[in-house]
Amino acid sequence: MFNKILIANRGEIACRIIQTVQEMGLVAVAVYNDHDETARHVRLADEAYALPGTSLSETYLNAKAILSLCKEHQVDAIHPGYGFLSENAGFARACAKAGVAFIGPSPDVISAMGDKIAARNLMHQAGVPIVPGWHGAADAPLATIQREAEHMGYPVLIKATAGGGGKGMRRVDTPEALKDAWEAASREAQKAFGNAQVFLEKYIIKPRHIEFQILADNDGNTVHLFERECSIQRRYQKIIEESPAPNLSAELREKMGEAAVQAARAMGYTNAGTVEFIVGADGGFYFLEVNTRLQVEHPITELVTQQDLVRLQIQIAAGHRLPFTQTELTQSGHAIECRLYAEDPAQNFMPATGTLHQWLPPTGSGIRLDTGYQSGDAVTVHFDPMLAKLIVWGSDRDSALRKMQWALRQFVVLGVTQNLDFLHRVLSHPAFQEGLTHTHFIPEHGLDQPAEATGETEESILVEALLQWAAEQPANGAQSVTAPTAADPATGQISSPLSPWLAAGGWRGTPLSEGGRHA
Amino acid sequence: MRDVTIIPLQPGEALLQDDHQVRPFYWRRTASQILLWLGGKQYAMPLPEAGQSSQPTAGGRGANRGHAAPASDKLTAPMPGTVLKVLAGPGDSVTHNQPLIVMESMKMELTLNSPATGKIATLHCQENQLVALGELLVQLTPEAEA
Repeated sequence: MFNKILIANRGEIACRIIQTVQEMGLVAVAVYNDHDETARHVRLADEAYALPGTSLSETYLNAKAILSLCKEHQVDAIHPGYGFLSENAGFARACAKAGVAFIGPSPDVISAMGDKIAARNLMHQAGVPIVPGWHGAADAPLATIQREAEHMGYPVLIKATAGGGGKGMRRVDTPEALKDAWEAASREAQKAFGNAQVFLEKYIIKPRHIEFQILADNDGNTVHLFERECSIQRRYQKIIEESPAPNLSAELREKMGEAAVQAARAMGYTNAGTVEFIVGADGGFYFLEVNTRLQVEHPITELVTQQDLVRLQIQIAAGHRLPFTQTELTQSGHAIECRLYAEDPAQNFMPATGTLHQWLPPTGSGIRLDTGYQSGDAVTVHFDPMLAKLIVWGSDRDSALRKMQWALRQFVVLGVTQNLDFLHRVLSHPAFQEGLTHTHFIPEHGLDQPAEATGETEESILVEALLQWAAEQPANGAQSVTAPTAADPATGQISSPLSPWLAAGGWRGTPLSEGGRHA
Repeated sequence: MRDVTIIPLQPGEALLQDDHQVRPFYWRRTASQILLWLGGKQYAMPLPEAGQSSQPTAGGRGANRGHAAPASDKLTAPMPGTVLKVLAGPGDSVTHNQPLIVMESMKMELTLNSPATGKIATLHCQENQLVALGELLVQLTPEAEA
């Protein structure tokens, strides 16, 4: 087993990996740039070393600097997390050359799967179904791209060859929009992945996104750890994931699991990975891509299979065999993950910044929080807007759902606009409760539009009084305020001596649509 | 009317007590507003000073007089971030929805289109500039006035 593991990442995923490394009795090494000197992952680590600078290319993407730290501080292995260098075959090769174990698949597999076009061709040959209408035109001139798009028919999707996570991805509905979208996607891909290459794909209407977790050791043992339903997305970014996938027949689950294992074997996969499928309304499923790394949403798999995926990754990288066979793995209960983003759902999900003046995550039975933030931390434009992943486990889908709704309502965040209310609205939607998920769920149900304001209620009048009280602070000791209980039924007028803003409607509430005790 | 009692615990944190319930609430005063968390919901109230200064002033002299829904003559940053590209310069004629600025925030790219047809009066940003939410990027002279 290794002695010292460097986590070449930041934020929640670095924190999550550090925890397992330390639980295993190993030394966890963090790296950080100028923005992150006192970040949570740095506070947790046993050792932390600076990657001087502020840009990603000179810090978290700086393979050379990271490997020289490994040499200097006797690091045995690197865990790349997700994003950054995690799917960079060149980095994995450089690790091998430097004598540091890369915790992930082999460089050849990373590079084969990193090239999304080659990956599809390989899967097609291996008999795994692929998305219809796919055309390989990786380095074609614009005229060819336009012809290919016309040929497969609009809408089409532009995706980053080296990509994932929705970065550099664009839906194009008309030929006129193709050129600009292509260039914008390419620039975004260059920024996010250091590779401007993008490609075209036929856009499937109302698809579900269901992915399978795979694990393979170096002795050829390959298993899947069941699926994750990741259809609830906004702007191609997953926001709610669950396992098991609702409304997925046992028969289809088994077929897809077998296809995932078949895909993993076809490429000689080792370590942890994810095979992503699109599932059409007709139950047909198509290979989308393989993510050769730990996924953001891996915790839901950990909760339903009761496995620690990071521990298994480290063990496999150290040459251990898988400690179980396929038949020994089961899905138990139901897990849901919600991604808390610093963004304003009322302003088209624009990223928001600020300081986390209050940050009190919920705790309790069956609740897990993965985050890189602590109370008082600043949320800046420099990094991804994900603040935390809230994950719950319940004995069945209904109890997991109720637990998540409860937990979202307990989460205190002040100072940074975020999507807590929005997540609650999505979970409360009858179609979500029935498990009728697909990737256009949010716009189809109008959930991307701001919630309708509820009228004056006892609670809203109380809030009015509290806002006014807070504006007059600081003060100590118990105080008493009197709040009217409701509007005058005769006139509909509300009067409050406490609140000059009331008449002007100067306060803006984010109303609770369901489940409020006082609503 | 009913009586509720506020029991302050520490700055920014207090309990709200009435005859059948005790609930925590949290607040924070920022430069421009009071933020409040109660019962799983967040609220914000602009402070009076901020309320006055944030009142949008009317557009140019006589702008869009008689129009029911006048087009805006300003392009402001819809998110904090970096200006990546400036696609037009002062004096340029632009059409409604023509891309003017490309912004980036948190590795997400966003193209900002012209809110009106007209001429660019002044440019208030340059490439690679960090801008705040709501910051004025481009001042336009709409066609009706030009």
